Parts: sequence; structure tokens; C-alpha cells
Amino acid sequence: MGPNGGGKSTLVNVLAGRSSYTLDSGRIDFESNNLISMTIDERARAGVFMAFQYPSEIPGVRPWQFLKAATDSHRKSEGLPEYSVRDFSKIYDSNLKEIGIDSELMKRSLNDGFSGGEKKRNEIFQMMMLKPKLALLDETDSGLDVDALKAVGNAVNKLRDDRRSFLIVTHYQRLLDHVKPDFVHILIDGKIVESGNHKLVKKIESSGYESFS
Amino acid sequence: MKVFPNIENLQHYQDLKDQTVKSSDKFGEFKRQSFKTFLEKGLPVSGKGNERWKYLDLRSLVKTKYKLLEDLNKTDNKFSPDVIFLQNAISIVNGQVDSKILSSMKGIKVLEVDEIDIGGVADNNEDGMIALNSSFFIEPLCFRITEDFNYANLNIVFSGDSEGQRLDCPRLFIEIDSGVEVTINELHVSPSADVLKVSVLEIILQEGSKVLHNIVVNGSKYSKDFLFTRISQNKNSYFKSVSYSDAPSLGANDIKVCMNGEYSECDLRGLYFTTGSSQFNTHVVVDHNVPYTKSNQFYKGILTDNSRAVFSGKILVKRDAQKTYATQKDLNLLMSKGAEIDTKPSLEIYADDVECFHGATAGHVDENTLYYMMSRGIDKDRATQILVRGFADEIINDISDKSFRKIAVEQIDKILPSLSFQ
Ligand SMILES: Nc1ncnc2c1ncn2[C@@H]1O[C@H](COP(=O)(O)OP(=O)(O)OP(=O)(O)O)[C@@H](O)[C@H]1O
Ligand SMILES: [Mg+2]
Repeated sequence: MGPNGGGKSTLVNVLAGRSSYTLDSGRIDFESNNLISMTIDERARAGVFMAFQYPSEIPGVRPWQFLKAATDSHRKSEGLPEYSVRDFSKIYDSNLKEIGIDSELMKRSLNDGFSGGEKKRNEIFQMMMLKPKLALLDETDSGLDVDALKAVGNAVNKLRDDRRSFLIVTHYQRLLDHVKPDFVHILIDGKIVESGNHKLVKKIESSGYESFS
Repeated sequence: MKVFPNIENLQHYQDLKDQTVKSSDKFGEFKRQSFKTFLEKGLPVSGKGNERWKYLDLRSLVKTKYKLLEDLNKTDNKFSPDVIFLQNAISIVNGQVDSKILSSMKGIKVLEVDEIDIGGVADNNEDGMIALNSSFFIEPLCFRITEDFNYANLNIVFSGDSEGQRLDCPRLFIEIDSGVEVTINELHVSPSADVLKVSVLEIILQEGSKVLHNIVVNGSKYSKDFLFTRISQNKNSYFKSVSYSDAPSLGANDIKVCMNGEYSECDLRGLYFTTGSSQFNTHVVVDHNVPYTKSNQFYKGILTDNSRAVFSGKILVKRDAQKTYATQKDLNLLMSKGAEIDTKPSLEIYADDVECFHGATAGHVDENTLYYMMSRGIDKDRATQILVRGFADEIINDISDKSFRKIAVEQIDKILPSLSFQ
């Protein structure tokens, strides 16, 4: 958590590997890899996933086709065979149902004209499909209705286990009602100024960030 | 400056005017007149009034000595591409066809000479290339599509053997009977040789008829494919054309539709995909001559390597053509630094109660989109291919005939992985 412009999206983008960010120094150790030396797609295949604050609209590309290509890439790098269309569709359909996305919506081009909330749900749907080891959720909760918020919470909780981590960027308490964080960090001016557990969230809600700077 | 294709036996054809050769040719007089026009016009390449060709480098037409195939028997239709599985297929080889094939098709009636208004829709004076075709076609295919052919598909396959530097001039004249609905598929399989093909297709749509016209051009590294489609629409008729052209070394998709009857509508779409150092010209004109007509032009380009494309689209609304509704759009994806597009939409409106819209864009693959896709584990090449395919699909999916669409899709899928995008 942290005030606007504090560097949360920057952190998430740097972890995911966005090429517009250059790292002057340091390293990012993830499992046995130094992420810095890996491209975005390599990081993704190593298990890093980012749910975008503003997902791209991709005209002409169907969500099914897009995720099949993504899943195939992941499986290939794990030395596994591609899913058959049938097997893939089964997983696809059941996850779609679980996150509560209307299959009619997915007949359109990816994110094309999706509402803000629909885009967010679609991000989480992709997370469910790709089962990342490290999921970076950048304000996924903003703009979500009550049901969607709950669905996102459930999706995170379902994936959550001792082999997976989630870095959730949020401004509000409400997603944390569904997902109980192990740690809460406060990021201001690019630095973690305070770390604690979920009780820290209460403090921020009542007195803001001023007391931390 | 004018350019004349370097045709080896041009002199021989000049003799046509003395009627010393082929006096039996039923189109002899038309050819002679056409040839005169051709000699007057040539192919203008620079200076004023040459909008159509000035952005293309046509000098290679002069460098090569093209020969004409004169002897019909020289080609025995031995070359036939493996796509002849198509039903109702007419195979035009080296610009030539045996019109007897038509007599076996139910609902297709071969026209008598006096029924054929050849050049009535495709005006020689409009462009030297058309006059070239009109001078040198061998036997035009002229027929009427009647009620008995209703809802059927006609497949026309253009191919040729890769022998020599040849000028092919296929010519078709088609009349669609009142109220008849047909699909006309045109497949061009270019030989791997420096063959200059100038094809002219004239279609007259009678009242209330409907034509879905699909074109696939599979160009070769050496071929030069110039396609002219000339359409005349009568009252209440509907014409839709969807074309996919990939990379002949030099090529053109040149369409003109004359809306001559009220409540007629046309929808023209196309995708040009240029690679290597190929050059491609898309030239689209819609003439709204009468009130209450509607037209749409929607073209897309994918340009790679050092290729170059030109789009010039024109909407002309005559003074009496009130209540015209016309739109035009040209979107281009530049895949390399060396690729170049000239896009020039134009409106010429003389009526006051009309609605016309146009727009054009040219851009590179969006970095954010690419990043988004890669962040899901898809590598850059694959992500780019998916994006390009998505861009193309918006046109390709409009090819109305499923088996024909498959030909275009297979072609594009074959090319995509072989390309490198910087
Ligand atoms: N390309 C850039 N060049 C310079 N500064 C940048 C660039 N991109 C972002 N910044 C700045 O970096 C700071 C951190 O931005 P960031 O988007 O990471 O904040 P944030 O914590 O995600 O804020 P919010 O809560 O509003 O989403 C901001 O001051 C922003 O303006
Ligand atoms: Mg942010």
C-alpha cells in the first residue's frame, strides 16, 4: 500500500520486466533465477504473472486463442506437451464459470470494449489459467463491484498455497476482507517505510499515510 | 513521362490495324481501337495527373521483354494448381481459357458477340493498363449468370506456367441477371516467373441482383499481377468484394464501382500484405451517380521488410446523387523501418445532402500490447504473429465462401512464421 505516485506500479512493472524501465543497480532473486537477466516472456514462463491496472485491448485476437498460445508457451518451457483443444477448452470453460465471466463476452476480441470491471475479472481469469508462482495484482480491486471483489478474493485464496506468492497493490481494505495478507508493506517515494500485518491496514484507513513520511 | 511495357512483338500487334492479322477476330475492331488508346496513354509514371502510378517504380516493366502467347494451342492447360478441387471452376491458364467449359455449367449462358458490351464498364481511356488488356486479350470469357445458377459459387482460377517473360491478359465480361444472387471467387496463383498479368473483369449487376466477390492473390517473388475490376450496379443491387493479396513483386488491386441505380449498395474490403521488396497499389473508386446509394471501403495493409504500398481511395458523389452514404477507411501496420505506405483517401462531392466519412492510419505494432502479450509468456515473435493475424482476420473473416477463406488463411499462416519483424 502507499500514496499515489509512491512507486507501487513501478515496482510491479520492474518485477514483471517492462522494457521501459531500466535498472541501474541491484538484482531480483526469484527461486534460482536473477529476474534482471530475463525478458518479460521468460519471466512469465518462470512463473511471474502480472494483473494489469490497465490491460490492453487487442483487436482481432480472441481470448481463447490468446490464452491457448500463452498456455502452450508455458507447457513447452516445462517440457510438457500442448493441451489438446478439447482438454484446454474444458479447463478454460470451468475457470470462466468460476470467475463469473459470461462466455458471450469472450467471443469478442480480447478486452475489446470490455468494461473496467470485466477487464479486471479477465485478468484474474488469466491468472487462474496460468497458475503463476508469483502473482502481481496492481489495483485489481479498484472499480470492482461487490460480487467481483468476492470472486477475485476466492480466486486468490484457491491458488494460495506454500509454493505461491501474491503481491497485491491496493488502496483499500475491502479486498483484504476476502484475502487475509501475511504481510503489509507501505511504500512511499520508492521505499518501504513500514512493514507489518493486516492491522497496519486499519491504521492507514483511519489516519492516512502522513504519519509514515 | 509515359512508360510502355517492353513487349517484344509490339510491332506485330501494331499491324493489327491493317487487318492483316487475325481478321477473323470478332473483337478485332475493338482491339485496334484499344491499341490506339494504349499507344496514346502508355503508363504514366511521373508528372501531373498520374496519381495512380506515381508512387510505384514501374521501370522493371521496361527492362523486361515480354512476349505474347499468340497460339492458343501452345498452352494445353497442362498446368493446373491443386486448388481445382473447387466446384464450378473455370481455369484460366496463361491468360487463356476454353469457353466451352461454360456450356457444361447449368445457369451460365455464353453471350453472343452482339450481346457483349465489352469495354462498356472498363473504360480504356481510364488507364493505359486497361487499354493494354483490351488490345492483347486472346479470347474473352463473356457470359450471363441466370436464375438457374442462383445461390451458387463460381470459382475462377488464374494460373500459368513459369515459362519465360510473358504478358497474360485474361478478360472477363459477366452479366448478372435480375434478382440473381451469386458468389464469384477469383484465385490468382502466380507462376514463379516474370509474368506480367493484366486482368480485367467487368461485371454488370442487373436490378436486384447480388454478388459476393472474393479475390485471393498468391503472388510470387517474380510475378507482376495487375487486377482491374469494373462494376456497374443497377437499381437495388448489392455488391461485396473482399480481397486478400500477398506480395507479387509488383501488383495492383484496382476496383471501380459505378452506382448507376437507386438503392444500390457496395461494400469493398481488402487486405494487402507486402514482403521483401514488393510494391502494391490499391486503387478504389466509387462513383455515386444517382440518389439513395450506399458504399463502404475498408482496406488494411501489412507491410514488412522494404516493401511499399499505396492506397488511393476515392468517393465521387455526383450532383444529383443526394442521400448518398459513403465511408472509407484504410489502416496500415508497418512491421519494419524500411516499409513504406502512401495512403491517400479522397472525397469529391457535388451533392449537398450526403453523408461521407473517411480516415486513414499507419502505425507500428503497439509496444504496450506486445508487452501485455509477452507478460503471459508468449515470446516476441509469436506475439507479433498473433497480433498481425488478428489485424488481418478483420478482413479475412469477411471472405464469404468458407473453403475460399481457408485458402487465404493457409496462405497467411504460411508466410507469417517466415517473416522477421524488427
Ligand atoms: N516514465 C517515467 N518517467 C519518470 N517518472 C515516472 C515514469 N513513470 C512513472 N513515473 C513516476 O514515478 C512515480 C511512481 O509512479 P507509480 O505509477 O509507480 O506510482 P503508484 O504508487 O503506482 O501510484 P498510484 O497509486 O497512483 O497508482 C510517479 O511520481 C510517476 O509520475
Ligand atoms: Mg499504480
